[in-house]
Amino acid sequence: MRWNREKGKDRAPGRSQRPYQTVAGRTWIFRGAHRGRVTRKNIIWHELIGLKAKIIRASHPELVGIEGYVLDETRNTLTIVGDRVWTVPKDVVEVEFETAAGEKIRVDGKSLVGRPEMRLKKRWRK
Amino acid sequence: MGRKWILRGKEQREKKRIARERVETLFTMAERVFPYSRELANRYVEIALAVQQKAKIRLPKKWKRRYCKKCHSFLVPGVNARVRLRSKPYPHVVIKCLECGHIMRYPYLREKKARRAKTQDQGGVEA
Repeated sequence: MRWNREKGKDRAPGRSQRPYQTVAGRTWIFRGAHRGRVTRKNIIWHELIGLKAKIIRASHPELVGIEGYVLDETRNTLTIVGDRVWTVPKDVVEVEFETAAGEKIRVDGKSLVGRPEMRLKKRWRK
Repeated sequence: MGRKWILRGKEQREKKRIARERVETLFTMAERVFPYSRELANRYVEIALAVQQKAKIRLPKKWKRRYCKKCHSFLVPGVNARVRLRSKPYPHVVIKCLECGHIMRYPYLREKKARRAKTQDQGGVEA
């Protein structure tokens, strides 16, 4: 997959290999959209989409410092949108989420592995 | 033993509360994102429905008619949905999804009856 920097869009013909490009750079859409009361305790079961996220630590140096709103979530990845869209694997990073209340929560990405609806079923505190 | 069950009930309630918040959030986001990326809005609806089914909660009334029951796409009246009121056989709302053509009908007889009773009450007070 190649990226055309000048045009800012994907050069691959046919299907879009980088989805959600139309949202890139429009992070204001997400401002204040998250309605949940996310805390340090319940973030593992809560919705990550719509939260502000920042990558603190990662096994890959280029991922460090990515900042933006979480756009999408799959079992092993988070899609984050800032002035472009990144897909970040969960299990090798440490993320700092900022809730609507302004609280900053650091989470090890390993504990977030799982599909969004399956995370709800994850082991409740023992 | 008894304590364990109490704790479990607490857990369940907490979980359902979180699930409700998640559904609310996802639909709000779908609405926000819709003008820019429809597929993303549809993806949010998909996740919201999955969460709702997993946690066994009711979908909030506000959002119940905002997605297509067949193709699960987020609906915005006037953009990709047609909303009309029909009163002939019985009063109902017809919502047509313009993405897949699916038609959903919801009765509003109860609302109508309630309104009728209300106006009558008011009329009585005035008279």
